[in-house]
Amino acid sequence: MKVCPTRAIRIRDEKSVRLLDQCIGCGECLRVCPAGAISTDQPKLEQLDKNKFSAVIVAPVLSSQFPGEMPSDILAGLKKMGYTHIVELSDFLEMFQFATVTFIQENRKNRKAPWPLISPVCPVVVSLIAIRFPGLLKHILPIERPLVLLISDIRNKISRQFGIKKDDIILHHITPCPSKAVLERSLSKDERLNIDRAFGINSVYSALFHKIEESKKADILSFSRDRFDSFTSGRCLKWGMSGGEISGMQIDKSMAVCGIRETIDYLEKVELGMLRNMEYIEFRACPEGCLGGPLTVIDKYLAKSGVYRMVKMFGMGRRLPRYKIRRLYDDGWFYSKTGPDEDEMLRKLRKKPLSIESLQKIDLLFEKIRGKNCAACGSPDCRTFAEDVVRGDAKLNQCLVIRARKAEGDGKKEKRKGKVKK
Amino acid sequence: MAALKKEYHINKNDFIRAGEASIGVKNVLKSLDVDPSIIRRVAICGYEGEMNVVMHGGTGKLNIEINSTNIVLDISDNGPGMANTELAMERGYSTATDEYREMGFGAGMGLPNMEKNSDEFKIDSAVGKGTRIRMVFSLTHSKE
Ligand SMILES: Nc1ncnc2c1ncn2[C@@H]1O[C@H](COP(=O)(O)OP(=O)(O)O)[C@@H](O)[C@H]1O
Ligand SMILES: [Mg+2]
Repeated sequence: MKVCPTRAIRIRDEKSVRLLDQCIGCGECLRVCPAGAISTDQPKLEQLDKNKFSAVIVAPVLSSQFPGEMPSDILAGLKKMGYTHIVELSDFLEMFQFATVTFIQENRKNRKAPWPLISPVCPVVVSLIAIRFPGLLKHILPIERPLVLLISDIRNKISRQFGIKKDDIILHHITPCPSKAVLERSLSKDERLNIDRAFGINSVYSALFHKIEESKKADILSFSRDRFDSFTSGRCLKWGMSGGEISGMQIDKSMAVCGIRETIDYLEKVELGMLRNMEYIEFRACPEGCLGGPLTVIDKYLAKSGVYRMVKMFGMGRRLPRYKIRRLYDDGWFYSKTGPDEDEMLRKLRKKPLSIESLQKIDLLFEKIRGKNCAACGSPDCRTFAEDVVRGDAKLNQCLVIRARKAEGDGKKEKRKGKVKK
Repeated sequence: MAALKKEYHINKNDFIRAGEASIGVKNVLKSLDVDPSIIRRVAICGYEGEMNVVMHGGTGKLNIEINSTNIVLDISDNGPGMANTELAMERGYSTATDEYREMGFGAGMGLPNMEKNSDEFKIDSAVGKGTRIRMVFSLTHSKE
């Protein structure tokens, strides 16, 4: 409850945990709750309909979870799970990097953009900004994030290319990120419309692990293990790590920040006008980046070490022709259709503003409580509790300190009465 | 008319805690229905003012008053003060030491930025007495 960066957790009626609208899906609570009081209701992967076109969208961060396995084996394992197609994010990561660098170069000259620009990639950070730093929404780079680039229009494309009815397309996504797998509303509109189901890596891990082993055995016979078609660019494999996004971009002044606390610290700094000479900041809510996501399985440092090995093997080369991406860029294909400050879902995340009078009441109540943030009331700290009371979401007598003081007071009064009687 | 007042203390040369007052002010404004772009300007002015107290001034305080039409930010210190405030207001003028420059401060843009970002700006300073800066941000008809 206390680790929640947006104070979105309340415990009511002794046990039941309630998540408020301010939940941004960072998963900090999943990391710290040993009792499993907070768990993710993730769907189980059932048998896929063989007659349908079933694709799974995966990012290179998936390969970090199988250190030592060749990327092609992981993709083969996914096929063995029943997917007819695998859609891989790497090309879109590279395109995004190109578009970002181009945008920054263009705006550097005319100094139009509000510096520093903030990476739009981590959905948790975008929601966090919407709730706690709305003034920084316009700093978010107006380029769609890679998953959205991939997914917008994907159904039309598949249906045209393969001659399949749109209803017969199943699209799944495997991700380390609870904001995508658990919290649908933190997704952008394109993602919500196009992904049928998102699974945490942890919920498909053991199944996939066995299929990878199986497919490796089968592959030895077919001599096809050297298919280096996907996941094989070091610059894309690095995206799972903090700093991976900017490491492939030639931007003079960029920095990478990861972890929810540090992210908040640095957003505060940006809001105070510091870091104005930075051009681009990559934020990741998870420690060490996506491979430290709450729905991963492998220890993040082991995963990182595995990624570095792969990057050495595959190098940092580019794979896509520049001129083609340039053409898409000039067509405006990369620009986000709705800015984050127009996104209704994000706007809904914000708490209703208080009046000056209510804020004064909260201050007074907070002083009156003089508590120690014990959280026995079910709110994360005394200040938030005072706000909950003034907003009408909690009752003052839920506070143990207040109740104890009252009981003491009553006791004294009674004693005094007693004395008088004697 | 209800007015909300808060006071924060600023300690001389305390770089570790510098910024806390401005972050506090920011968070108060965010819980109210204040336009994010105004919050942004108040935050920038508060931080520049706070840093000036920490670097050039002495012990001081930051006061904020919010009512339905205005935000008033008042930053004062009992430090050395300035002989010539007009000179101090010039863009690029700075007496910051090399050490401060190393830390990324001392571009001489603090006071000009504060004037630019506020709707009303007033500076009072006297050598040996201290410095006081008062900035007003209108909530009804604002810059930009
Ligand atoms: N509170 C203060 N007390 C004494 N001198 C000050 C104070 N604030 C500003 N000054 C003087 O005014 C100059 C310009 O301030 P400013 O525009 O903020 O630039 P900077 O802080 O980068 O030097 C400072 O270098 C300092 O000499
Ligand atoms: Mg200054």
